[in-house]
Amino acid sequence: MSNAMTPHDCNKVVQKMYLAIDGELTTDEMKEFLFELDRCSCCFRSFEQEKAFRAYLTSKIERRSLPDSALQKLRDTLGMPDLIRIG
Amino acid sequence: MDALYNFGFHLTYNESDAQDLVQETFLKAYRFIQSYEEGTNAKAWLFRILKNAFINEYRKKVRQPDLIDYEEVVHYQDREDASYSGYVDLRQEIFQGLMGDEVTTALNNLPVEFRTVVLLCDIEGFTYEEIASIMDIPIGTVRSRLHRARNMLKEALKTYAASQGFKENR
Repeated sequence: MSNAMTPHDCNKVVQKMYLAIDGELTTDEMKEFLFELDRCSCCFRSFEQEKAFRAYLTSKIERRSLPDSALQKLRDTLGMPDLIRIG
Repeated sequence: MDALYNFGFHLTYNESDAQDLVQETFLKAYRFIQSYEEGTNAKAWLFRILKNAFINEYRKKVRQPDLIDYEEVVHYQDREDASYSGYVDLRQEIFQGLMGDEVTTALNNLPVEFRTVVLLCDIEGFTYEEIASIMDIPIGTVRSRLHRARNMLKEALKTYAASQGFKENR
């Protein structure tokens, strides 16, 4: 576990940035990551930028829905007239 | 099923092929329902079936003369020493005002192996472990492909932003 005496390494923080945003860090790893962010304004800013980029990306990527005609074809093929649109 | 269709569309760029993939996926799921392990992620299971259908069926129909070379490139890019190319510093302001179409175009221009992990992670919210299972690749490869894919997207969008007169504020 890092503490105030441990040297801060920006590269290590950057490498964990994606994992943190993707929810792939354990609770302890996340605490350590946030501790390191608090120690470095540059890392903190990079983290905020990465989060903003991710939010932007997620909101802008085109999403398509299965056309009704294709859903009906699926119902007919599977023999499931009550098949409803999910997810 | 909309998520499956969307995934299929981003794999094939073709509405009809994406619809066929969804149909194939549901038919296979229905036929092989006994292979589904109760309690596991059903959505991930369906995505895995669709991904396999894409590889096994769709790719057979498509001419891919550079497939071998391309796979070699992907394997090189998946190497651990190639996975970390440094963080692409990008100001959040650069993205403001960009059109969504450009994001989709940038995504669609990524090689399919990289596009897939971005879609599964950022759009569908799968964990690295689930993506590894869907894609049949190690978690380390998921991580390195995501890192590389996002950096490629940032580079692509930075170029577009610059061409549109956006300036990077430092």
